[in-house]
Amino acid sequence: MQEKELIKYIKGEANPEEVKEILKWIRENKEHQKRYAILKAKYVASNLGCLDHEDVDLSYKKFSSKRNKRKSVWYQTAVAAVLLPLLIWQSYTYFQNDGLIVNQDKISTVVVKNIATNYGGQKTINLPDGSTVILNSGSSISYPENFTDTLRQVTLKGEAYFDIERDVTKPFIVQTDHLKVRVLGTSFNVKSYPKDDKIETTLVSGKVEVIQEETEAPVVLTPSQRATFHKEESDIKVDQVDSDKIVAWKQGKLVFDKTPLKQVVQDLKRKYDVEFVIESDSLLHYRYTGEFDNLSLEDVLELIKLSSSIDYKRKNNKIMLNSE
Amino acid sequence: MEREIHIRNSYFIKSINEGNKEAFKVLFELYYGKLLFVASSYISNKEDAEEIVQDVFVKAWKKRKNISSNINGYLFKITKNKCLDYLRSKKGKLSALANNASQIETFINHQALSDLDSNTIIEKELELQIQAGIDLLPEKCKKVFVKSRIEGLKNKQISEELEISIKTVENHMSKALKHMRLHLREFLSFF
Repeated sequence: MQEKELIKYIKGEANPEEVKEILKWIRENKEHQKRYAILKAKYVASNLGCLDHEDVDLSYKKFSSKRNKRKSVWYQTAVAAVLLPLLIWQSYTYFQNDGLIVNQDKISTVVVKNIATNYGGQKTINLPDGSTVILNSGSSISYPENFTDTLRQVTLKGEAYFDIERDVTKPFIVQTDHLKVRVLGTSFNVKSYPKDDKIETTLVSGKVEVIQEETEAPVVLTPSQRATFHKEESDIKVDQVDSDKIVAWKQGKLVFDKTPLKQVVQDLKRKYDVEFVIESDSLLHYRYTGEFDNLSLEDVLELIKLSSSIDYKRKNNKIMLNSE
Repeated sequence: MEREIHIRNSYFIKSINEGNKEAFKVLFELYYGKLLFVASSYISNKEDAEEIVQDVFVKAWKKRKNISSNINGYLFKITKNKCLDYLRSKKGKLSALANNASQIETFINHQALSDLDSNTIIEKELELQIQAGIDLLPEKCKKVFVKSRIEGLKNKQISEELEISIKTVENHMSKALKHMRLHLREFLSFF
């Protein structure tokens, strides 16, 4: 291969036919790869001296705001910290004026924080007892500003990962639509979206009890066990899982293991904030297996198309799924 | 070419370590365009390349306390590693199935940027060009810039030392900063 041709390619001036030739040549052996790497580096190096920096101001502004992002969250918390006591005081005086005798302690237990995430969002929350909760997309959690002396109770809609500080004197309870999860100190994942037809509790470490609202019968989980509550049958099934995969969403990954397409589509919708329509009935029972590591929606769709018999089309901001 | 100034100058590095935003801004203005050119030479998506270089500076800011004398090598290495991470994620995905030109390019660009000899070529030239950018300033202007931003003297001290008015110091500074932003075509292209 002539140096001239390689340089033409590196400069991006080669036509598609030539590109094909050159790529083939580069892939032939290590020597070619090395020659390409060095030539490319020399080209990059030789151009470093003659660049335009016109929008560096704009870029710097963008950088500045990224750098300050953390500060703004802190600022919001600070504002909340100032407003909240005010709110308590206001409700206190309100009740007093109404002739009700309520002491301030009681009111402060009434102050409930509610935190929600949008589709595509994720939040980390520090609870008053030092426990941490990571809230997945399209979810919300509410908890009292201060836990009582005997109980730590939170209410969850959606999915969250809990890392709970151990405190044997105060059990920690996650209340969902149909069940309670009771723990002393441990880490676990609860997936309980109102639109899903089941609730999954997966234990990472420690010990938890999953208690069905109606029967009050507890199911005890050991690490890497998952309790799946089916809303329709109203029963709990326990199976062994890879808990790392269950909580992979914390790192932006989506992991499916023979997951019904209906569920896959729900998870994608929450992560990418886009509507899906399953057009062909045969797909309703299709089970998908695959991992998406921080991919864009486009890449996810391409990958599904390549690895299954599912084809997709975009129509009015919706993704239509069809069997090929 | 005489090299009076050094981006490795200890006062400059110390200011960065201490979180001096002015000093960091100088660093950003000196390096941003060049690192972006490096990144976008190996990554075809322009926006992704920009995002990567932005992240490079966010990381450098977060780790500013660890920056030692070789600031050039440090910035280049973060940029390179972030680009490789990006290319790896793109490469890993569809490679087994698809076989189109852009995917092969991702693959060979990943290889090219992993090549250590190639890295050395770019890293060295980067430092030379940054240096040259400072050296090409008009003499007086350069002195003021170096005394202010690299050695950390106050405008008043500079005016006394160089026997010029404070106003002139300020003018030189703004000229120098403008010069940093505009770029120079004085260098002969390799090709």
